[in-house]
Amino acid sequence: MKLSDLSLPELNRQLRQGFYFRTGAFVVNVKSAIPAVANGLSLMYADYPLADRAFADFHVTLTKPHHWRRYFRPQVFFRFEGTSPFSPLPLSQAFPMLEWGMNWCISSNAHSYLMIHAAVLEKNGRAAILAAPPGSGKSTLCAALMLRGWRLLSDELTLVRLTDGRIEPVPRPVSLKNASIAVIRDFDPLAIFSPVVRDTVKGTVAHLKPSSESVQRAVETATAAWIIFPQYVKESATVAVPVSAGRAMMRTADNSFNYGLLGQQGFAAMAALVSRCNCIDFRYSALNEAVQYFDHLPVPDPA
Amino acid sequence: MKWRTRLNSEEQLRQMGEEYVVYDAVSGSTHLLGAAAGQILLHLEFTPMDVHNLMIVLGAEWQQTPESDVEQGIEAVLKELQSMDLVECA
Amino acid sequence: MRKTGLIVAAFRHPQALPDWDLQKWDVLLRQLRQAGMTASLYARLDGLGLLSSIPEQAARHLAWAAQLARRHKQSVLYEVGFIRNALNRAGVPVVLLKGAAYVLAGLPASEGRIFSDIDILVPAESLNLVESELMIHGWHSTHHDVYDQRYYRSWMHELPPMTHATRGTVIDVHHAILPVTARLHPDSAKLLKAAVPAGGFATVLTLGPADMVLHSALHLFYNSEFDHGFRDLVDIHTLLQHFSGLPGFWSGITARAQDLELTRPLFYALRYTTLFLNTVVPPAVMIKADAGRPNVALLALMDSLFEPALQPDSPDHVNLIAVAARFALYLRGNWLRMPPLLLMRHLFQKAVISNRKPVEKTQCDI
Repeated sequence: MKLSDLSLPELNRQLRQGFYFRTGAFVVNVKSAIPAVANGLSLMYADYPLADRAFADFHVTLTKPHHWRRYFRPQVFFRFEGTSPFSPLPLSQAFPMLEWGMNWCISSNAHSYLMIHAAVLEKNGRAAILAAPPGSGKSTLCAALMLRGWRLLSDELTLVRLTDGRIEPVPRPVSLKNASIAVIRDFDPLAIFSPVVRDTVKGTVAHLKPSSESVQRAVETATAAWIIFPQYVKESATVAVPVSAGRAMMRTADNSFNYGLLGQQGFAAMAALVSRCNCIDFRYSALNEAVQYFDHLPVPDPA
Repeated sequence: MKWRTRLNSEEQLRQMGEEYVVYDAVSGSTHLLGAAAGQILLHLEFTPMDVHNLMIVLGAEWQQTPESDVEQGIEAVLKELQSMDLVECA
Repeated sequence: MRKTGLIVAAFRHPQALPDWDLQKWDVLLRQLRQAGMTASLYARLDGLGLLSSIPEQAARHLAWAAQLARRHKQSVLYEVGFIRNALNRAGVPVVLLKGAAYVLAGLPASEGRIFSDIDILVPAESLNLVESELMIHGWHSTHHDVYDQRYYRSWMHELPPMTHATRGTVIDVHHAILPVTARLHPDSAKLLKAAVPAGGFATVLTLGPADMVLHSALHLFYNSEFDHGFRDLVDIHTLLQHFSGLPGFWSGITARAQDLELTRPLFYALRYTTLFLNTVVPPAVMIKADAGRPNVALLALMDSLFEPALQPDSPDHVNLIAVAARFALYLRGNWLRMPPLLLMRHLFQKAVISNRKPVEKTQCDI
């Protein structure tokens, strides 16, 4: 059963008690009476499968305060199993807060994966990891690739399984900010967005609905073939420069949530990952050209 | 005076093309090393060695005659590896 | 079974855990996370060879916590190395207490414990020397408030916590295991004399087995903070089970408790571990430990305070009785450590003068 099979009143009812759904590798239970949360889920998560109420990996709630801030410049609290990892945000940011909160739950806990702060997409059985700090245009590129047929495994959290190095999907709405929102609307006028939320700590934010294929194939793992370090540079030509494996390893380790925590296992997993990938520094400005380049990425030689 | 590595296992040193990455299990740090430093560590993993023998072994690999500047180069790298706690005097 | 009882049930009967359904596991995992005991359960099940028998969705949560604990152990070992270097020069052996001691001694009780400070015990006369050596090696004192400094140095039994300038790690240097101002005065010299080398080092030691148990009991039952009471009780249980194989352990522990004037904490430790965790204690030892039994009225009071206080909180509903019991025990804990007049002054002073910052919350930056 999928979320779209529920009426909005039914979704709201379930949200008040705890709404269970699966996002690839994890089952989440969300409890909230805030309308923006219900609306956001209804729009962005229509294709997602519901989950058995018996078990959730992460139990989260989004609530308004009980005191006067409920009415005057209302706020929203995010809680994970009774603890508040974040300060409250303005109520208008409830849906982005849910997204950021779920990312936090995963990146703080899921230590059976090497977790890289990177987008990851797959085509023809091979996955490209886009690793870059915020502001590099990584999310814009990720959104564009997904809209042009790449399967989205994640826009923020690349999960590399420690047992065999395969990437596990956790496909979720793609987070876009500021100018990227308009860029992607132009790129694909049919793309479905959540309502735009302004004045967040990241600026103006909106989420892009993941492609149905990405959600339907959320149980399929993938093998990484490329680690790309994208950088949007205004008016730049599309330029790709190889990066040595050693340097790629250090840079990707810097972009990881738990590389240090995993100790020697993390080292081994990261070394294996970069060794099987072509690692590339990628500069671009024209999105169409960038997508074309990706569609013709050279396949790495078998290690 | 012989030098030896402080690495516990050969799993901690990996060659990647011309460079090497090494994991220090005691401190949890990861380092990126150039070819010379990586090869020195690799040889010391087999057996502790003094600078003179390192010079002979590496000189053969690098196709350089053992000379004082090669020896100095090796000593400089060893001092640096020592400051990173990757090698110590045996 | 009451929801708050799941952790207790899990630790009492781990063999039954493969039969628990997913829903029960879901609640247990949340309770474990709140109590900081997830990795402990992993270790328990690993020791019993049961990890592959429990539901996979639950098992991976245990594995996640175990990974953190593993990394933590590594950083403890690393940090103890630095402490050892610093104090070697001064010729002062490092006697580790609590969590760090369990790690260095490779004890089962070390599994799953994540703690932020390293506690050491040194002779009172070496205190100044130790402090200056640590400062030379990069640690600096915290709590610069004159009142706090006096609180720690004159009235408590330790230097104010010292933080390392570059590593950010914290060390607590004790010269006794109870404050100077407390009623009991277990002799530190005796503890230090019985300390044993650990981790393969000559100058890194832990308390002897009986002393380790007694210290753990003292720490739990005479401390002000009971947030992790159940976890601490499981530690005592694990220590007792581990040491019970040592020749002379059981026959010696009650005598040692007498010697150190710690018969009361030993009594409580044995009483509550057998009650909650079915710890196996030779009957003869229970009888001898009765020397520490308080009078009937006091025991009834303590039972009514400790039993709810030691129950782990459920994340779903705040156990008001447990909270009240904990608060009463907090006051009792502080009262046992400081005479009433000093206590009032301390509590009042803390409220007004000290500049305690609230816990920093993360901004959403992912």
